[in-house]
Amino acid sequence: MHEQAEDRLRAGLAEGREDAFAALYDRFGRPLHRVAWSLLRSRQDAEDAVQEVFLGLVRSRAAIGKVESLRAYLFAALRHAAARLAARAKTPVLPAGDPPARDLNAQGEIDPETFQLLERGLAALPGEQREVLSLKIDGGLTFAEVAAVLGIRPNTAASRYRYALEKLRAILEAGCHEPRTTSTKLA
Amino acid sequence: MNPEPLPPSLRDLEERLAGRPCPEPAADFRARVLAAMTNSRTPSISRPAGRRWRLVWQAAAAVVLALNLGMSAANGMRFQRLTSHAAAPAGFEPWAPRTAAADAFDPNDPFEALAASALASFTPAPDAGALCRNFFSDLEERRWALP
Repeated sequence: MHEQAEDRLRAGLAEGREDAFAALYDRFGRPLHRVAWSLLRSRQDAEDAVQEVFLGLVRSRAAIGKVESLRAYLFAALRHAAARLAARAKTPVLPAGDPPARDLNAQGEIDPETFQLLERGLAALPGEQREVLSLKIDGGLTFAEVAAVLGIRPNTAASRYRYALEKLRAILEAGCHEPRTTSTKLA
Repeated sequence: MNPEPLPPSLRDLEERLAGRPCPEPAADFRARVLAAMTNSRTPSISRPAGRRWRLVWQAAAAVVLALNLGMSAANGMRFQRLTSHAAAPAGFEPWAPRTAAADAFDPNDPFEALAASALASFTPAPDAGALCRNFFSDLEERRWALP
């Protein structure tokens, strides 16, 4: 986003203008929801988390001028909202195990078997690595923004991302040799 | 920052991860979020109420301070008047009871009447002797002062 456009968005938000709210949702709603779903694995919880983020943004809009990166701020708020929801539901953020396939109503670019394999691989990753993967891939954040969200250095975010991908590849390669997933071949 | 480029196998995995399906939010989710955002502007609209309470507290504090200062000033002026009333007449003996001075108070003023009765019942401390009188007077300083 160009700086001028972001400045206009911030100004509109600070004034509480509805067109600014709509522009904010259209810009950040989808990636936020994707990351929220990735963290919570429930469409309802993901929607609740995203709504909480936007409501929090409106309530604290007077201080939005002090925020360095609006995108990083929103994803950091989403991370906190997801943790709160998970604590309320007494389920861990980034739950391990099979993904709830019933929540999926969208068709991706990969076949369902590969999807299941990927999700199993993701579930087997350490939480901090899955979080970096989700923020980078699902949220479309840069390493600097991921670092700002997680409170780590950009180099750490980048290396954590690479380790996560390497580990996921190893998991998937090992999984491909299992009898029930032999039909799926990943890189 | 420019991280080291990923090898093709990891880039491919990255693309597969980006392409995996994700449930879309409900059809009316956008409208619900925007309506909730619009409604949640209300607390900031009611913010003047908070400012109003702060003004009330500030005004109350100012009134208390003004009362305090006014009463202090009134007390000081009253004290000045009392001391002028209670000024010792010529030939007043400091160690004697001040019953004579009590007559100078205005009996119609309840405060002065109270002060007069308090002064009338005042019992002076016994005379501690010449040494004490010399010690608490300026005679000693004058005695030792250089010519």
